[in-house]
Amino acid sequence: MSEHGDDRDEQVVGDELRRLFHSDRLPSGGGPDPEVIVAGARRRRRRRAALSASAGVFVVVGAISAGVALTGLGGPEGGRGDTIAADRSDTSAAPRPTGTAPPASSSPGDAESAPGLPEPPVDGEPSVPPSTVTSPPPMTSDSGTPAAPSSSGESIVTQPLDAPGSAVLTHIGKYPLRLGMGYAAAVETGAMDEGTGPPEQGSCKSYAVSDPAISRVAIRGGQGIVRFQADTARTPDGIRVGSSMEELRAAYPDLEQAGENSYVKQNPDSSSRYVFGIANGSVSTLRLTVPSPAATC
Amino acid sequence: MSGDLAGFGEFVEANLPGLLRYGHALTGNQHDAADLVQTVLEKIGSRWPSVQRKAADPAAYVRRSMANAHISRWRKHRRESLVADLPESGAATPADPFEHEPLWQALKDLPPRQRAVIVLRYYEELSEAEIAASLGVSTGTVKSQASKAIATLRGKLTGGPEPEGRAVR
Repeated sequence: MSEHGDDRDEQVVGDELRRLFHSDRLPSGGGPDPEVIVAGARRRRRRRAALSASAGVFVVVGAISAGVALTGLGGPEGGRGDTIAADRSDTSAAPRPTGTAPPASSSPGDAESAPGLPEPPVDGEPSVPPSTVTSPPPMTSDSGTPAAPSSSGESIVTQPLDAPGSAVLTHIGKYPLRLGMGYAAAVETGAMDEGTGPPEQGSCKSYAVSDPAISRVAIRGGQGIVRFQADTARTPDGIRVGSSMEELRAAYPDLEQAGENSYVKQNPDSSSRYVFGIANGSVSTLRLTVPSPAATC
Repeated sequence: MSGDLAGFGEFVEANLPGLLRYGHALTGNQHDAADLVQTVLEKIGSRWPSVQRKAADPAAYVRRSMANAHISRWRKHRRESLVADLPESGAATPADPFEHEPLWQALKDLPPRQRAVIVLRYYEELSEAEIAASLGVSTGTVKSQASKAIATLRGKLTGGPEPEGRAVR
């Protein structure tokens, strides 16, 4: 590689490098649990599937809207045009993952078109504008269930519960950050500050986030995000900082008291829990954490 | 999907130790290695059936992806900012197994692209053309990056002056 008689030196350095790289001292442990990696891959895959599905739905909605508009424009009834205009206005006012979603970027073919380039090629996610992505679960109502198509057609496109701009802290996190997400992945979303770098294995660091509904997240090295601390975010059942104790009990009859001034709501799939701090009869802090208290920060 | 990911799980189980070693060589420390491995594997796992179809050696594909991700990450992270809070708890940093190896310490100081070239060359034993293809650069770039890196490493090992600019002779 060198050009002027340094071949021998290069050989010496190269041999030393090989010795280092193949030394038994190079650690092979201390990494993430394989199950965590598989779960992360599954999460990314679901996210992409949800994106593809929502893009398809929105294309259909767009086609229907266009058809209705054309019908109205060509129709004989004078009043029809006003109605159509209102419909179009409603549609355009709604969040529009449709028009901006780049379905091509999420196709598997793109992923491997440039072998060895993992960032855009392997995943394609960085090329997806945040406002166009919905993440699993694709819930679209406060009840946490998929929203039924509107019979009126006025709000066919609804704001997904777990989507950009939503104020809901779901049981998996707050878009685009998720419990269990590693430091690099979280930074990559652009929603979390880089801070002073990743936490060391087993230790915690907290990071500021760009979402005003969340005051910060905590990451434990080797586990990823283990805690969200809400600012103005609310749970899917409408509980937020400032909610009364009565509202909290009504929303979560199975609430468990964890301390003198704290209550816990275990999420149904045991994947996480909400922790509510109580002061003066109302919720003073809201956190989403991993299920094990010992594992959080 | 679960079947696909079951296969991916087996791949991860089998290759994780080796990938962590490789990640350590790339990043210079255990924590960044673990983070890098997790991030890249999650991405690749999300497209696992396609990767299996198209990559003759998925493990090599992962390693080359890690090299690219490491370079990309460095570009993003060099603009470091502080969080408002101090860390909520601390943990001892694992001892650097190469703490007393001057070459390792010199390697840690290399820019990520140079380091990636060196690791692909001397860990992966790839040719210049293969490294160029992996990193998406020309072979000329690979040669110059490798030359600079070797000169820097040699200079630090011998205590000589480090190369500056393009003149590495």
